[in-house]
Amino acid sequence: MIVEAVLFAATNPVSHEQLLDLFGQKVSREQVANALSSLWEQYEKANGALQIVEIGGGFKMTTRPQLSPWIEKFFTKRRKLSLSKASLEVVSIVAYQQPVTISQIDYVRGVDSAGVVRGLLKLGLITVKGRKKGPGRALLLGTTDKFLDHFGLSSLDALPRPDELANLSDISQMLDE
Amino acid sequence: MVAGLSAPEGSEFRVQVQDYAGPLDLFVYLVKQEELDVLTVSVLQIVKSLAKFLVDRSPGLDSAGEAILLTADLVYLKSRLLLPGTPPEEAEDDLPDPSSVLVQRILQYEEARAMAQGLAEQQERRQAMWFSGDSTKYTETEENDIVGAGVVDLAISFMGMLTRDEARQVQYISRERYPIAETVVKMVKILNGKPSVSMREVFSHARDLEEKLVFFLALLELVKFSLVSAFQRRNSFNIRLRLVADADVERLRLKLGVSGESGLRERAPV
Repeated sequence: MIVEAVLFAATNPVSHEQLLDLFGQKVSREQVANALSSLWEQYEKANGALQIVEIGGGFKMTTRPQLSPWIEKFFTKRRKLSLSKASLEVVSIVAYQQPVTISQIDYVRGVDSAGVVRGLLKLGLITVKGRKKGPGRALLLGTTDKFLDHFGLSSLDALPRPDELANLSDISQMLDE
Repeated sequence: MVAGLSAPEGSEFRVQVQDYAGPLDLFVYLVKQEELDVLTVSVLQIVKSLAKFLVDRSPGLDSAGEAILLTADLVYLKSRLLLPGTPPEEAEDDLPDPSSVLVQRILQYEEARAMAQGLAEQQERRQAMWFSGDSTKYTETEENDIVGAGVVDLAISFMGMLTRDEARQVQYISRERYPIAETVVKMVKILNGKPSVSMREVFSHARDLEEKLVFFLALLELVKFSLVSAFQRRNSFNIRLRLVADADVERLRLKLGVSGESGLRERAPV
């Protein structure tokens, strides 16, 4: 019940570590995992409006996707933050090639991406992970937990693999011919 | 033909050449797929139109940047086809081949675009899940934020849903297997009672490639008879479909020969 209440009240995904901190020495990591697992099962079995999902390095209580159109209709004057095509391109280059410098992003896109990078930094979807060794000591960019949350990913391993994405080999073949 | 709401004029660079009129990205796509012969197209004419479009319409930075990049891509594709290939023995061993560097860059960019598309879909799935604290992420909808999706948008979106093998396959549609009238009814039932459904979700009900194609034809019929409107948010790849409340159901029924009990209701619920 406590885990359920925390998941309901929390704004950000709740991690195993946060739950362990909450209970102090009283419970083990395994007990926390079991509690989450049985809570997940309980919600799946009930098949109600809410579900438990693993997202952004933690767990969250959300509405089920099929109810989204109704909630969107309720919030007629609001919309969620959807990234522009340029922002999606930049954030995907950072996600797949991190740590990456701004000049590497510019090279791939063929256009100046500094403004888009600034916007993504402001949104907290990417962050500076360090500096590249060598002349200029360029900033190295990587994604954040907020990025995982925004795209509903449990970890970076859950990113769609490039080889799963359509048409790349077709383009490659066309250019080879 | 434009489905549902219509896109405001001037927001997108459109190409008009001998065999083609439409958005630039579809044009470049067709050239890459060798559906259009770039050698017969005047790239100079397209570049001049682009310059005029940028001056006259002052599009947003994203649209302008994308149009310039795609035009550059087109110029590169044509130049590559026009220039004779360098014989291997004349190539310098110790210097990288400039054309292979360019090809590599185009491949990298295409990969980035495909990854961005993958993330856009991921974003849509995530946004279908709501929770109370999420409200901080919302921004007010601008009045012109939602734009109608035209036939070309529907076609691009449909092509994006096909797997690589499916896109290559030549498919014959048999009248008996998936009659369009029945598919129209099936599609209406999917949309019925919901405010809107993503195009991808609607097409996920198709069992195979043939049914996917019939779904697309059925969607065009529904859009043509204003029974379904297709729309998308500006800067979004994702098209959503919804039943139109005051749709001309009777006309479509007569055309398709569908009876009143088949699922095409007098008034589609909102």
